[in-house]
Amino acid sequence: MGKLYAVIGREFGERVRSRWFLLTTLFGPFLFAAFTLGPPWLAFRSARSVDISAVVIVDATGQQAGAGVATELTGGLMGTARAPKVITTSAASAAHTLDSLRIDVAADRLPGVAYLSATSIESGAVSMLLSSSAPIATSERLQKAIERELLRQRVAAAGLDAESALKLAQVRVALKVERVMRDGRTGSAQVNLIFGAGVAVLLYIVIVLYGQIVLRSVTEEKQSRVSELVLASVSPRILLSGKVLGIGGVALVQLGFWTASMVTLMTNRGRILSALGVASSSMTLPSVSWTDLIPLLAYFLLGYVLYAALFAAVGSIVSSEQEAQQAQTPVLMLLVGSVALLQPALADPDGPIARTLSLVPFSSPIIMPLRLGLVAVPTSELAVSLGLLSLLAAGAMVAAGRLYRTALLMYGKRPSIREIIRWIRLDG
Amino acid sequence: MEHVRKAYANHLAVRDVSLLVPKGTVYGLLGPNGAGKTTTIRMILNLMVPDTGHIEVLGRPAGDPAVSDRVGYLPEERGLYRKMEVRRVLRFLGRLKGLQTKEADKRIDLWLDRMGLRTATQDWGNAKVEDLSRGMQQKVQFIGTMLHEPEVVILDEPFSGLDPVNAQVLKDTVLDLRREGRTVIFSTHLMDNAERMCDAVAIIARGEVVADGALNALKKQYGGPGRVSIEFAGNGRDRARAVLENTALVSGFDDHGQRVEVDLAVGATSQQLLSQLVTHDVEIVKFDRSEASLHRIFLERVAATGVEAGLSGNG
Repeated sequence: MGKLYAVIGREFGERVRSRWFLLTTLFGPFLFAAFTLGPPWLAFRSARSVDISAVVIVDATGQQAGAGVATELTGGLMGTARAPKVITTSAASAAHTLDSLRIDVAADRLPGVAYLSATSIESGAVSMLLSSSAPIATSERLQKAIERELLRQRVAAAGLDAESALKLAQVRVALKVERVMRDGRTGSAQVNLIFGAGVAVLLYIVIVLYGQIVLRSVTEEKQSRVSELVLASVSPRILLSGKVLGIGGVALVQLGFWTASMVTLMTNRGRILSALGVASSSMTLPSVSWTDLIPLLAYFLLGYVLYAALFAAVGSIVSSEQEAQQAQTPVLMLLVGSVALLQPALADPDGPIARTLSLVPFSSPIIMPLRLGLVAVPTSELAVSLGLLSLLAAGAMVAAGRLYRTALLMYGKRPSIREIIRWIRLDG
Repeated sequence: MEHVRKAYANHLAVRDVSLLVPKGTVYGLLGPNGAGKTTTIRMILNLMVPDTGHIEVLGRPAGDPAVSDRVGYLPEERGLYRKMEVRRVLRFLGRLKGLQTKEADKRIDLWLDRMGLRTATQDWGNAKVEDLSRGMQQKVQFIGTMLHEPEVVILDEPFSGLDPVNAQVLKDTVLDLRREGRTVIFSTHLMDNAERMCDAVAIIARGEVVADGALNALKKQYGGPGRVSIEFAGNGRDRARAVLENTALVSGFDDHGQRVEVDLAVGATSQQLLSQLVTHDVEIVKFDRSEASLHRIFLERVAATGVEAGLSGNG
């Protein structure tokens, strides 16, 4: 047992102490923060950067609509302190005014000009000149302000009470979809979708990342001939399990840190955004209880063990890292294949594709967590899936351990499939 | 080990090897390249399982976990974790042999001092393996072999890649080990080292033991009647012609001009040869009767089994 701990301790200790670990661990939340906070903040920034007060409104309506729009544009969350300049003209002299303004816009002295013609209130047709450097958000904000002003003008023309008319006009349907599961559990459909896909992708990333680390670790040991030294002291089984467990521990620590930071980030998203001055709501996380997490953890651990054993087997039969890159392709294909089928599984999480994939041990660690997030999977199906995965993972470890002893001492030519099978069977 | 056989996919590495290594001796495993030395060693260490035959180490079957802690091994192809600190590598190797961390640390310091890897000004124990020179890495590896004070030390080609200074350090250490009552098995194709260090040897060729036993006994058994080196003066060489061509005395000779290496015929003695030379009034500067060297025994025994390639290594 002491020797197993020694192997685990080395694999874990050396990796956690490495700069690589520190960087990737910290980079994860950073990347995630960039994804969740970045887009709303950037959108807000670009909207704010428009100096709307520099826009000139040419009003030929004869009904002070231009002044109304200017008032609309001032005040409010994104409003400017200064009202934009309004030039009131007659329909006849409008063309001349616009021509001179067009020169200013072309020379980039003015960000934009909006022209309300005499028929604008009636038809809703408004033309706008925008300078080449002005952001497109300028026109969007003007459009909204003009829409509100035109509505007020029309309501007033019809002799209605402006306030109540505005209220009537503002019909907006807030559709909140709630998916009801077979077991009565409820949750926001969209959030569950994001959560399920997120877990699946995260598991995929961690399995690929750490499977590769196992692969590299084995190749390195073989290439530097350390394996011969170590195998003279411990059995191949202990070396392999120590390696898989030690690196798995690193994966768990990193995954734990990432998950914790993501949950913190998501629950505080609104608060962080508002601190940055961006109006947004916190995203409600799906209510996940500990009992929901147990199968996820089981799938992660078993899936990792299965693929780590496969990667270790690949690492033991090759002689160099370049060779390892080629030889790992079949294992990677299994993983990539599972992710490629994520789309159909997402579209119909209870369909035949998703159900089959969640039973096949090579894809179940990725597809089943996805399904668990979306639909209620029958316990029997979950049990069969986990059982198959456990069997294959254990089998892969045993086979890799047997292959290990022979393959680690064979340098040079890569063995053929038949030789590999012989080595696995031979070392009983 | 008894009647051990090991075949790879397309060749037979060890055909039939039986060895008995007496406790507390320095035992040399000699053989040309590709003779099966490394395979034999790997089977003793249970790195490989023999196809047939039986191996016992320290009275237990090879591969018994209790045995592996009492054996130290220095592989031919040396390597360490390059990115790790020397002290951590050694601690790891010690723990793999069942040492407690504390005890391992104590011994690591002692060995670093002994090997000159820790001085008042510099402690290489805290450096990364990759920052060490090749010679220093070999020392570190040797420390790793010895850290748990093994009863049996197995060194595979320990002299390959060593400069003369470090080779001398290694020789001294091996002799120290024998003084401490440990058993040392080492493989080599350098007959010089083997002759000076070993109590007993086994010569392996083509996967078979072609000669084995105590060094003296081997020399007696295979050395033949003996070899004499004679150096002439004046026209001694011409006068000796009749003697050298006497097949009752001389079975053959290597002619170097003023010096000849003479193989005595069966039944002849160097005494008879000398008296004949004196009778013929041959002027002699030097008459040197030498024992058969291990080198010659090696060449003869290996040649007898028909190994044509890689005969003497660079021995």
